[in-house]
Amino acid sequence: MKFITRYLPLALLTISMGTACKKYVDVTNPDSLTDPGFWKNENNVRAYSWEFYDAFPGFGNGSSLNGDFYFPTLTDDQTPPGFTQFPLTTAVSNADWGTSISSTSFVSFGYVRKANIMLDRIDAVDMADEAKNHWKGVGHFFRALEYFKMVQEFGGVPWYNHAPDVSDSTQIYKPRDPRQLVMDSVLADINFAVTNLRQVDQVNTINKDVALALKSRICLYEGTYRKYHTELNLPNADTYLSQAKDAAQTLINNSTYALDKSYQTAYNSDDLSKDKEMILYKKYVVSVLSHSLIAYLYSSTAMNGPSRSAIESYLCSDGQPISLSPLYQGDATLPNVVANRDKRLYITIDTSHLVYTGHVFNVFSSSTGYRPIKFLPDSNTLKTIPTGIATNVTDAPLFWLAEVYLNYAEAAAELEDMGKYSLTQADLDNTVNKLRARGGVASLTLTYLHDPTKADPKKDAELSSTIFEIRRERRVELMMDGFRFQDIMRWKKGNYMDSQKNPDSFLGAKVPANGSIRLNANGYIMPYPAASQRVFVDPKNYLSAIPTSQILLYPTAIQATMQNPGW
Amino acid sequence: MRNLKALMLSGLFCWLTGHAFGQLIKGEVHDRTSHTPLSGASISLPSQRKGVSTDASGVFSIQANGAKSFTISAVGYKPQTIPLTDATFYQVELDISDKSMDQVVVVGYGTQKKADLTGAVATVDVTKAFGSRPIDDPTRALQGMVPGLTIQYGNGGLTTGADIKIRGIGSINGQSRPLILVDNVQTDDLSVINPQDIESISVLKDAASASIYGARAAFGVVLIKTKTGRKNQKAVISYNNNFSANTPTVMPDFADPVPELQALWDAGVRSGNSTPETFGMNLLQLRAGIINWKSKYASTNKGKEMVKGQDFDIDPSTGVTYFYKVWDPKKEMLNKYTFSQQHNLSISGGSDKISYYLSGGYSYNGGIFKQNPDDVKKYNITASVNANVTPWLDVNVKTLFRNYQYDYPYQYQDYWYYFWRWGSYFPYGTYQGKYFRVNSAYLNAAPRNNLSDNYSRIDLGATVKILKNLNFRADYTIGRDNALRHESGGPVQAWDFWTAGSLNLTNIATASQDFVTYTTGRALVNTFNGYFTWQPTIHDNHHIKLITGINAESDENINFNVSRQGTLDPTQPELGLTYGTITGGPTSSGVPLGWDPNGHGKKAFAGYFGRVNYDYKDKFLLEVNGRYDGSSYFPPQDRWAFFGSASAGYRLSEESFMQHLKPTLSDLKIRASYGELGNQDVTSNGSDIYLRNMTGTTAQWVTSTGTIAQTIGQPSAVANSLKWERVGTLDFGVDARVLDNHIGFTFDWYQRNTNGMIQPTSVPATFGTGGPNINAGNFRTRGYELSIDANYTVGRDIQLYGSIGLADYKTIFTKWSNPSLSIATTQNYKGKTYGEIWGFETDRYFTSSDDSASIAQSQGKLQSGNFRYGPGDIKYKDLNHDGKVDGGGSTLYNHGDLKVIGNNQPRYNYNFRVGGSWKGFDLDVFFQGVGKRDWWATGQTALPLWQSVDILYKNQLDFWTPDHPNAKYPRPYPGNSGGTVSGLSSGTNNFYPQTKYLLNLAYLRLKSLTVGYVVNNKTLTRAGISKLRFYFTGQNLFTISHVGVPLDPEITDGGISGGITYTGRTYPFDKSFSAGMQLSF
Repeated sequence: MKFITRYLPLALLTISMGTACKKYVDVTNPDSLTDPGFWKNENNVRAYSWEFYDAFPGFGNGSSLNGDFYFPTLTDDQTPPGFTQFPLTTAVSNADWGTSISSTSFVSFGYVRKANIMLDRIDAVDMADEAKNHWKGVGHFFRALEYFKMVQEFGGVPWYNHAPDVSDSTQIYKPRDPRQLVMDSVLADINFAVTNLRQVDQVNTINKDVALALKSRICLYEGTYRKYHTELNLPNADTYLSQAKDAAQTLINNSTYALDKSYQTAYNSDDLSKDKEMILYKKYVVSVLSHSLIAYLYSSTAMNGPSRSAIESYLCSDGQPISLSPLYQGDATLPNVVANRDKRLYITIDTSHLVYTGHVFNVFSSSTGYRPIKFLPDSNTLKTIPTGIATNVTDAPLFWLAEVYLNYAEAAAELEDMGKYSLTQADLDNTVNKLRARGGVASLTLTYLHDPTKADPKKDAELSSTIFEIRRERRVELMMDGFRFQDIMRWKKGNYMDSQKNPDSFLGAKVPANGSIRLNANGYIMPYPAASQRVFVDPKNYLSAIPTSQILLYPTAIQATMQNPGW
Repeated sequence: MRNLKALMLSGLFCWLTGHAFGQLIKGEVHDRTSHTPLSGASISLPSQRKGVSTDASGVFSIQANGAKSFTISAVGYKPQTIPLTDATFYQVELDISDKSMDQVVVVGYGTQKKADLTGAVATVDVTKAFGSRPIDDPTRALQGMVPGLTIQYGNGGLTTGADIKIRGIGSINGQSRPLILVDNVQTDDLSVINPQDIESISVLKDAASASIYGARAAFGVVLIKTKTGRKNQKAVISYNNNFSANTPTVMPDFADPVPELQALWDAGVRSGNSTPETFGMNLLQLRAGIINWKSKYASTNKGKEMVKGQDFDIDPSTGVTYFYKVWDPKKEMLNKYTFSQQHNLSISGGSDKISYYLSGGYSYNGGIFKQNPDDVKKYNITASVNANVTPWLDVNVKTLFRNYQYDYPYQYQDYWYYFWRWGSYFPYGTYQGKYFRVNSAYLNAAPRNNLSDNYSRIDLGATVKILKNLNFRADYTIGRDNALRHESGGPVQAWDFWTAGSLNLTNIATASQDFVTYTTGRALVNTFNGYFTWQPTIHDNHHIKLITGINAESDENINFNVSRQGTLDPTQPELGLTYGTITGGPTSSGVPLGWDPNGHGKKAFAGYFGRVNYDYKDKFLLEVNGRYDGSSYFPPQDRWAFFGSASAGYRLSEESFMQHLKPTLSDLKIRASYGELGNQDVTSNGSDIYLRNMTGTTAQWVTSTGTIAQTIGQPSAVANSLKWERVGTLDFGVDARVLDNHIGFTFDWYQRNTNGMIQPTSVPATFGTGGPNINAGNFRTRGYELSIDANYTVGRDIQLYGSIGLADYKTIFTKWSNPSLSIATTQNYKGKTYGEIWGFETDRYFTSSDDSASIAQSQGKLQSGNFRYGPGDIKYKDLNHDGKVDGGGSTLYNHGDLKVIGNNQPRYNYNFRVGGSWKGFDLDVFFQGVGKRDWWATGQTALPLWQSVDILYKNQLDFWTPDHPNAKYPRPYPGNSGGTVSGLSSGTNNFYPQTKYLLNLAYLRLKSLTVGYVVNNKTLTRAGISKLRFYFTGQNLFTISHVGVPLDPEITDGGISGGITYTGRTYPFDKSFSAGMQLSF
């Protein structure tokens, strides 16, 4: 008995400690968050999701030069001071075929894995089904966005529905999926997002309307790509185009959104939160998040000037191209150039001064003589000149109505071209003509388009007047907004950027000789020596190279299938 | 110990049956070596429970009660059984038992007789390691003491931590550190223990001995037991002290600036600089000024205050300040000797129910800088009480407290780095009482910064005697470590000569150096151990001992700092007296080893363990260990694992056919063991690599509240297959004692395979994040350890002893994923020997007879910058005879003319000791060394003009000129760091890693020499003094080495800002002379 009283507690203690021991070692560093324990509630999911927004460059971050606007100069719209030759990237490296998510990486497989992990975890999070659907929509939205950007750059890429374990070598060394599969999956993703995203989660976050805007952008892209890149033999171009049109239509019908009075409002406002044209914008706040777009446009460094090709694409106020319009006064002087033109031109370039080497105004100089002012704040309300790098806080549009109008019009025109739709005057009036009205340009009519005498002599002979004029409208409206390069790619018009085939894209303003500026025989600024010619190689330059160091990681059999044509 | 237990048990039995009284016997017990009286020795009679102890004079008396014999035992001595005769007074001398087979060795959760050991267990002779040595950190004292236990310090700084390894590198991940336990509690930093409080140290080297501790013990265990009082012992009060003077072993000498500056000029011109300068001082103009100073002012201008126009001047045309006075920088900046002292006081004793041990220690170590030297003060307090509460219950409490104070000048800059960077003409003096912008100014103005660390530990324990042969032991320990670092800077007024054209008296400190920072860290350790020991008596020939129990440990660590710039009064550097913005957060500074620097870490370990010892007739020995181990460092789905080991021994000497050899071969045992353990130490910072960590970051997005979006990144990838590394050790050993136990011999051969070492894998970018860790490779370490000891007594008065230790190992990668077989230093490949150094073989210097075109043809690819090989430059051997010297593709099958030129691992670690005593004198001489070790050292101290035209040391003036073609160094050229051969260690031009300038870090060092004298005086005895010993000890008194440069052979470090790149720009190693006394009442 004594034995029992004495030792039983001891034995019990030992046994209880023994059984408790298993869980005893289940501790982790309190200062670390780990998967899957992190996935507790909706707030955590939301916190996780913010990083996806790094995919939107907007006007850029901090001092960076890699915003969507003005900085992507490899087009026929701008002729920057430094000569840029194809290829875009070398075959050895390409940061976009990488894994990082950061203020400088907007395209990468990192976003895909991040979205896949989120999609895999949401069902286990403690929240209502409505919330689960919304956050799945967020995952699908960003997976679609990133794959869309990757397909634009690389063509078909491996499609991942789930984040694989490293032991799953069939997934790890998965060859590139066909472009068709990837884009069809992107469409499925964005359709999921359209259906399931909330109308509002928080102010200015992605929602149904943003998804619709992205959908119209993606579908227009893919529809035209499939239509024009006939060498790929891709089906369903029309399906994509009608989905682009329908998505745009839904937004156009949505009375929440309305066009701004001024073309410039979207580009130079300190606060876009009340702007009814905005579907999603990137907010910049003093000391919180800034960009340097304005600073670079105020610096003494020569600016990336718009090309002669870009300036000449603007119509005269009568709605006719400069080659036809009696209002056009030639390009001998800057006042002549801008007289009676689309008002958007006045907002896009400085109409009072040409600035170039040997003819610097203030400190400003532009590679083409034309000084971009579209993104500058209103000089009447300006208190200080925002020359400081990483101090600018004008908000950047990401999805806005103007693009949606253009998407609609183009999709409709392409469908008509394919015999799948009849473009109506109402289609034009509801879209491009609203933009023209804002630009002080006469409306586009079907009659005008169908009148062969009104066809621009400089028109691309392969295109109908309808498509040509709608594309012109897109070019002008979205001048320096970062769309042009991919537009050219999807239209299969690489020759627009070829200095031989489109010499105007390598010229600037017509100016008097001053001894220090390089001019061609006709007196136009030549930003580069004659020897610097840009040659577009078809089909090579329609896609970027896959980094060779990455290809070498694959089994030999797959390696041969990895690279893009021509590389 | 087993005998003791048996005695105690039989004593208990006797007490229960009761006994009568008998005749009184008396006696005196001495140490046979030193003839000092032994206090506290137990005298017991076989038939009687009640023993007695000797008093301070070694005297005892006891009732014999008709016993036939009595036994005398004392810790550390061989017990002796003396037959009782008619005599009533017995003079007994006990032999030290440290090396005998009867020695009791502390092993995991118990003790074992050395004779019964089947694993590779070594013990440290604590008296020799810690007694009489001016060492306040036990780790330092252990260096070189145990074959297979390597302890390395990269430099000689007061606070430098040790790299501790048992049997070399265990994994390319983590620290490969052994598990260090003090009284069964993990204690990574041994400096919390006062060496004087240590009773015993065991080193468990093989998996069989260590596996009872589970996954933390993959690379061995160091078991330390601290002292406790002994029962039935009269109070013993001991005091000992030590006063030490320390001086650097070896340092480079500064050169005479006259030839130095000429060489710097020439080198600068050679590199394409038409007018080489330093701080704008044209080197030739400077040289001319120094020559002038030497002839005119050297004999008169000896003071600190510098005279303008003589000791320095301002060039009127350029406004540049020129410094002409030549100093002895070592004399100006460094103390010839630093001082340290230690004092220890302890009181111990015990009645038959209660024993106690109390001790206090103080130590002080001074730093070497003359101005504002750093210093370390340490206070230790230990108290323990053991009580026999009831016949079946013993309880004990032990407390330990250590306060550590490191005071140091604020580091405006890395003082060592700049001390070694500039020549002896740099202005160490003052002008108008103010220093110039050099070390002196910063050190002079630097506020005292302080690191204070309080470590405390309380251990409560109990032993329950459940049955005669069944015990339960439990102890619970709470350890707390609180560290607080207070740092501050402030303005420094000095003459700034850095900006051309002016010499301004100005504040040379930056705004960010005017600050106050408090950094604090708190670590908690709670440890519980509970285990049963059962030693059933089954049969005379079969002995079994069982141990089973549980162990649990939880740790927590929190670190953060608060900092504020702008002190109102730099002499009162407090946060409330600053005006800047307060910043702070988690800190990586001062975070204990193995902890995450992110601020708050937790870990927990637990295990169920068991051990069975079986022997048949003390001849066939078998031990089986197992532990079901849990660790928070293991993968969440796999946190528990079983690790087992087994070992066996065969004592040949116990066989009857061996008995006739007994006088010569007293003992012979062969043993073998194998065990496998998981290694959980796979990161350096405690982050858990098995978890998919998610880190916070900011998104480039403004939320609706107008703030930046704080977001959380995607989880890191962790392979589903990721397992811990597995470490299997096979060990064969032989223990023998020959010549009547006078000579002992232990040899171990082992093979340790570390399998599944963790490395990040390389995956295509489409994976979406960096390649996760996988269990990528294996390596194998094979080695051996040998130790020999001898004891011999000549007559009554002379006792001699000696020992030899030798250990060696080599580690080879047996599997590694490196498909290209790159030999880059950052890569491994199958077949690579760990630590190998690739380089060129040096042929000779080029001479003027070498054709420049053929030089360019053969070595042109190796040139960098403006350097062109020519006469006086290094000619490397064209090993593959392809007409050019290069590194090929830097792969194993295409390595051009590269070859393995050496290995940076210490090989053939050896030690030997001889000593003895005669009458009251004792002598102990301990040598320690490394047989082979190569080092590719970089930086100016190792290779002339590594960086730029900064300095040449005295030894570096031995460079090539046409008239001096057999020089040590090539024709000077500045800037030799970045080479053109990929994957190689740094070095270029004349200093690619090569045979000629590879350092040889082999050495033989007189680690310690101790001479003592025990005063044996009746007067002292009458005054109650039982022992008084005076001693002198020298540390590192001499060293035999051929390093190749004037650096200590143990130096591998380059200091704070130099890192490993600037070898030797850091605290030097010391030799020391110390003396002290040991006094017992």
